[in-house]
Amino acid sequence: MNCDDARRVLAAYSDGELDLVRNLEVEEHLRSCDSCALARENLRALTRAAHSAYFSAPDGLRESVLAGLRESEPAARSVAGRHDSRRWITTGLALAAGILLGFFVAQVLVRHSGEQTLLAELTDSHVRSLIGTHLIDVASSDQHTVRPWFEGRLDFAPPVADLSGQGFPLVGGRAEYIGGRTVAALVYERRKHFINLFIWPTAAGNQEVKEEKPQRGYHIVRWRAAGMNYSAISEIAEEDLRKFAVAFSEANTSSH
Amino acid sequence: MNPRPVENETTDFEKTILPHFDAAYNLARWLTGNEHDARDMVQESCLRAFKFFSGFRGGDARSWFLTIVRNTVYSWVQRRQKGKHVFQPEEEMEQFEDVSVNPEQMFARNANIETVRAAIAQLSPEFREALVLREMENYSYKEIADITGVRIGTVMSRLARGRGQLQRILSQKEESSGGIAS
Repeated sequence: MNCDDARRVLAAYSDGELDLVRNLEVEEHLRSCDSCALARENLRALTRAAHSAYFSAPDGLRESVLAGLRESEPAARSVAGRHDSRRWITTGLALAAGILLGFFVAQVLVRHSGEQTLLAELTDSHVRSLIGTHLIDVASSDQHTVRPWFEGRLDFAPPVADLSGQGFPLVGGRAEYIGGRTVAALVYERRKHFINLFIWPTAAGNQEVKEEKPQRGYHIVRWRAAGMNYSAISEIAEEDLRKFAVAFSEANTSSH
Repeated sequence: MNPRPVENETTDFEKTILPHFDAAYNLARWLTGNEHDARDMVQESCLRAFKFFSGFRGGDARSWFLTIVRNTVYSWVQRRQKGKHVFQPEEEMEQFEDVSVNPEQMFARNANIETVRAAIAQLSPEFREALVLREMENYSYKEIADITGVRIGTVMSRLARGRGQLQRILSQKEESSGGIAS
C-alpha cells in the first residue's frame, strides 16, 4: 500500500470501517510512513476535539420531561402508535382506546421479549458483523488496548482476555445495542472463522457453559460468571465453541 | 436478560429510551444551535417517542430515538422558515475532492472546548450532523446513513468534507492564537 492508497482509506480506517485485510495493510503502511501516521494522529485529535464538544443534557431537563410524560400518559396511549396525529381524542374514548392499546402492546411485548428474541438478536448481530464492514470498532489483539476502548462507551467494564495461546486470538471489539442496552462484543478468530462474544451485566448468579439450540446454523453457548452474561456465537464446531467458552472463563478466573 | 419487560409502559419506555437522553439533547443542541430550542425539541421528541413506542420493534433504541429527534427538529425548522429549505438541496457528492486531513496542519492539540464548539457550529448542517453522529455518538457509516436517510457514500463524503473544514477552521484559530469567533 502506498501513501495515496492509505490516505484514501485513512478516515475509514480510523473509523473502524475497513475490513480486516485492508485494516492490516493500513496498519503496516502507518508503521513505515511518518507523514501518514501524522495524518492519522490529526484524525484522532479531531475526533477527541469533537468528542469533547458533547453537550450533556442540562440539569433537571430529564425530570421535567418525565413529569410531562406522566401527565400525558393517558392521552398518549390513546393515539395509535404509527402515525403522527396531533389531535388528542376525548377522555372517554381515550380510556377505552387506552385499554385496547395496552392489551395490544402487551401482546407485542410478550411476543418480542424473552430468550428467543435475544438469541435472534445475537444471531442477527453476528451475521451483520460478518457481512457488513462493521466487525470491529477497535482492532487490536492486545487486551490492554481493547479494554480501555470500552470505557465511556459502556456502563460496565467487560473482562477482556487474549486467548492466542489456546488457539483463539483476539481480533478486536465493538459496542452493540442488543435488547435495548449496550453490550460489549469481543471478536475472536478461529482458523479464519470469527467468534462474537457478547457481554453484558446481570444480577443473576453464575451458570455453567451451556449450548443453546443452533440459530440459523450458528452455534451459541452461554454462561454467567461474576455478574456478567456471556453469549458466544460462531459458525465453528460446537465443541470448539465450548472450548473457547471454557478457555475464556478460565482466563478470567485465573486473572482475578 | 429480558430486553423488554412487560410492565407499566412508562417504566418500559424509561428503561429503553431514557438512557439515550443525553444523546438526544446533544443532537438537538447541535441541530438547533441553542439551549432553549434544544430543550423544547427534546421535550417534544420524548413525547413523540413515547407515543410511538409501541411501534418500536426492538433493536437499537438510540438510533430509533435519535431518528425521532432529528425528524422533530427538521419539521420544527421547516415550520419556522416556511418555504426555505433546511439544507441546501444537495447534489450527491460521491466523488471525493481532496479533503483528507492534512498532516502538515497541526491543530487542535490544545484547543479548548469553546473554540471547538464554535468551529463545529460553523459547519453546514449536514456536515455537522454527520460529524456529531460519528465523532460524538460513534455510529458506523451504515448507521449514520440509516438515521439521516442518505447513502453510505454520501455519509463518507459529508464526513470527509466536514472534517476537512473543521481542521481548517481550527488551524486558522490556532495560528491567530485562538480568539473565539462569535
